[in-house]
Amino acid sequence: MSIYAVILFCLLSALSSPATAEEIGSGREIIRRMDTLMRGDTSAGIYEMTVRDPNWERTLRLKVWEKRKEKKTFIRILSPPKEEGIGTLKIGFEMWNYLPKVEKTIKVPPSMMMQAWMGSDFTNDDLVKESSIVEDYLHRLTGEVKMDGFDAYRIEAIPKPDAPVVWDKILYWVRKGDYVPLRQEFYSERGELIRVMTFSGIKETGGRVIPTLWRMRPVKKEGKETVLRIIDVEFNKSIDEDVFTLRNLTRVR
Amino acid sequence: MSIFLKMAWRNIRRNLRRTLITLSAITFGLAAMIIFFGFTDGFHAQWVENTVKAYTGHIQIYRSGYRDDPQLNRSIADAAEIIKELKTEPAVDTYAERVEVQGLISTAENSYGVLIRGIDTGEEVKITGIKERIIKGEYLNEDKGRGVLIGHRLAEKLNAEIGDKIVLMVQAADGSLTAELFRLQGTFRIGATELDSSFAIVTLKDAQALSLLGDRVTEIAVMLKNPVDVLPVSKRLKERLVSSGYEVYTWEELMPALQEMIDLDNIFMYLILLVVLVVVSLGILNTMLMSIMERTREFGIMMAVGTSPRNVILLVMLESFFIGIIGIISGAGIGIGINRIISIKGFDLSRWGGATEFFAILNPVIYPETDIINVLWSCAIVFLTALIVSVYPAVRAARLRPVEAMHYV
Amino acid sequence: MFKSPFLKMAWRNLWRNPRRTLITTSSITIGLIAIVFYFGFMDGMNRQTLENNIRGHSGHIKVYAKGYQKDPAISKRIINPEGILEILLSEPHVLYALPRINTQGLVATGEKSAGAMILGIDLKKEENVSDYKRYVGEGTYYIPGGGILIGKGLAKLLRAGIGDILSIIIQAADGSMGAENYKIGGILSTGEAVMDNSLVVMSLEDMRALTVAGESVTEITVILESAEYTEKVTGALAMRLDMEVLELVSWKELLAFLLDMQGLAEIFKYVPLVILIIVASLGILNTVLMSVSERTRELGIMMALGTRPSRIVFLILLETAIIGIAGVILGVTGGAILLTYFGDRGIDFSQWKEGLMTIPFHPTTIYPVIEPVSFYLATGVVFVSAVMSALYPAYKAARLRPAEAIHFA
Repeated sequence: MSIYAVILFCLLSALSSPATAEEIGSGREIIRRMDTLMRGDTSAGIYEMTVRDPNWERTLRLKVWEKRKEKKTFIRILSPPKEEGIGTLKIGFEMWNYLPKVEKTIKVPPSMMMQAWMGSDFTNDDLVKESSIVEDYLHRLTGEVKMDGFDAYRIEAIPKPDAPVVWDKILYWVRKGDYVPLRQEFYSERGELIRVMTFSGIKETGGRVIPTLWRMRPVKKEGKETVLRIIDVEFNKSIDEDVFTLRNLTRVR
Repeated sequence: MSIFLKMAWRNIRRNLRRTLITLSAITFGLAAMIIFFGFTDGFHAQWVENTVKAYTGHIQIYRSGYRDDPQLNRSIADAAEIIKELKTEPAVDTYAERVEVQGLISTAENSYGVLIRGIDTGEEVKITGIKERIIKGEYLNEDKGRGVLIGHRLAEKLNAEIGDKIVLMVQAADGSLTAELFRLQGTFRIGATELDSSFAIVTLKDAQALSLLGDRVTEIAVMLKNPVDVLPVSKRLKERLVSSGYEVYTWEELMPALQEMIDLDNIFMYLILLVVLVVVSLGILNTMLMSIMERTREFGIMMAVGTSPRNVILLVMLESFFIGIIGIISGAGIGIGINRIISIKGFDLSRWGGATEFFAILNPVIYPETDIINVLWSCAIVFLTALIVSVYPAVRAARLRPVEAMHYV
Repeated sequence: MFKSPFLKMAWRNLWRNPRRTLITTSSITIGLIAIVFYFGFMDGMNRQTLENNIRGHSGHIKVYAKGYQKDPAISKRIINPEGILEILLSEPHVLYALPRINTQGLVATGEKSAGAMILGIDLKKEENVSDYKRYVGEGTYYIPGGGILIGKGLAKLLRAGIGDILSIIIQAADGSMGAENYKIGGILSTGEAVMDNSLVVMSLEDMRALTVAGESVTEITVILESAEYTEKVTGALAMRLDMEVLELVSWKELLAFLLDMQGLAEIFKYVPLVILIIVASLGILNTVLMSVSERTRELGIMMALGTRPSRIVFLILLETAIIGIAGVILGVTGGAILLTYFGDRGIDFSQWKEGLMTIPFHPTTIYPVIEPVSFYLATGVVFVSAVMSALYPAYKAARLRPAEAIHFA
């Protein structure tokens, strides 16, 4: 479960929190608006996540509650039957899993938490600092292009010299007008494209127009891919604190 | 009695050839034992030194409770206090503060779990010798920014080149997950798969910054001038530091397997020694019997003129006694001498055959040691053996029938 | 040659002083018995340690999916083990082919969790082959379905004992999370800290269910009749198996470190031999010198009568050779008897078990073997040096001036 939780956290934080306001049209502002669109102070939703590997493919249906400022997240797996009922609670940097199969709540040791990365396609910066993408980079709007048939801004993000990120450059394509993210490309220092994130299925959900299908692909690793589909989501509705408790973990319907 | 002493002494000098041959068995046997002990002790010492240097140092000091549960909140807050104590210990050679923490190492392509060790680049060099193991790039250079050294196998797995971005992530002292950017400054090859594939070395300051430890450290490694002092020094340190909330461990306590392997090795050494003793005893017995037989006529005459059989035995035993003493002195002299000579330049084992993996960690040059206790034991055993072995020939001599003996040709 | 008068003379000379001859011969004999036995002992021990490691750890050959050895992961599996097992077992010299599934996982009790290595084996097949049964210290090897064996260190870490329930969580072969509860049926003490602290063993069926591996396995351990067939069988298998998807690794690679250490120990094995040679040579030198000096007159007469000096040398050497041969034959026979006797019964070292346990799979009962090479080496070298030590006296004898010799009294 750790792996899935971690993948999910990454996906959700791939678009991060805004910082100070800047002039409209600057790369940073565009990113900030994109993020505001995708996130809220709280969110509660149902997602479908598919992880593909050369040898297997797995699709999980998840219910997720999140309180961003307090760094609290709760995930319940709804399907498939083998994993149904598994719950994950994350508060700050601590994480617990509840496994109904063995009827145990296990505190995930940090080494396991960090090592879960090995199976996933994400790197540490996705987990460590949620605002990494904004704070650790300098953004530059390089122009307007056509992407997926839409008019889009093309933004280049270069990491600040001391930022703890492994990338050398990240490219964003954000739809003009409503700031819907369309595509992201991550490059290493050797100029190689290492991973690509694409967004599609743009429609109205939870009162906003957002992409409901996100696809993350590590370019160099054949046959690996992670896909997230938003089934339903609501933003900024209040969530009972009781959700983010260990007790709730074991409360399997 | 004194007559017999004089006679024994004179007899020995009478026939030098005989004496020399018996003597040589004793001398040689003893020298061989001492040299052999010297080598194995030297070998073991080397083994210990190398392993100890790479890992723990002779003594490690932690904050109380760290060893059972190595959490960062059990780090040493006041290293200066400990260092003050260490400075008052004359037996201490160097000490190095370290920070060790589990973490994740990432490049754009891959991530792996690692043990991150923050070292005091200056002091540490005197201990681990990591500087000599660098095969690519260079040793940590603080002028070139935040650098990290990793094993060559890890570098391969990460597909990382010198200068590449490396991000290290740990769970910091306050529980949060923190990460910092480093650059790969060097790759090392220690020879042990484990160390070469899951170890990352950074400066102490960087490790402290990364783990939010401030100026705290997780351990202090101490090297002594003479490894023999480990127990007494650790005892003294324990007395002074345990009450302040620290724990002190010797390398033996931290790596019991190492000492056990050495102990095991020693058992087999004693086996070899036993075989050597058997061989040497036979040699002595042989030569002594020969010499007694040679002197049959002489003994016959002695007994004919009234020397009692008991005194014949006494005489022979006294001769053995003298030969034994001379043999021991010369044997020890030669043995110790050779050990000393070889230990000046050392003996390079690697020329005698493979064992390459083993020697990657170990220095193949051995410096034989001379342990006085071992030497004394060896002397005693060989001496006693010589005496015991000469009982039979002595008794045989005494049993001769004077008349027959005199006519023996 | 056997009719040669010299042979008769040599033989008769030896029997002129039977005691001396006997003593000299026996010193060779006994020394040789000791050495031969010692060699047999060490050879036996080394071989056993190697065999044990092969049986318990590496097998003679390991069959993996391609790429597994460098980077082990549950995704790299042998898909059709049944077919491969058939091929393996049909190959001559193959004794056993053991399928196993191996992966990393998390083991948890209510409060504690730890990373572990989870191994699924065919308990019945491996019962008398690998050493897991032998290492069960507490509880039983015959765990029922749903039972596990756990390393001593790991059990201690989790504060768990026989009968406790543990949850094991792994990432299954299909990407899903595998989690199940198991009951501890036995505790393993392998003696290797690394294994004791992280090993969990369960039945292959249970492992299959947990990892959703279906019929596939992560490795097949092949055990041969003897290590000497390794290259041959590896070569044959490489032809019969699909090397595009599989890889074969031999024990020589897997146990490189152990081989290294044994190679090193070989050097120390020869020390007693060298000592024996020197001591025995001294003894023989002495004896022959004595016998020559006794016969000075006789030898002088022989030479005066026309015997060539070279013939004298030959005579002396022949005498020594006879003693040498006799000593060697008796020594070898005696040694062989001892080795055979103990080779069957074994020598029990279990009181030193503690120390022995640090070497992986070290035997506690050692069965000395007769390793032809060591045997011949020891006997050959002893014989040659015995004869060579007679060279000096023989030379001296040949240099005698007949006129003087005859008058020697």
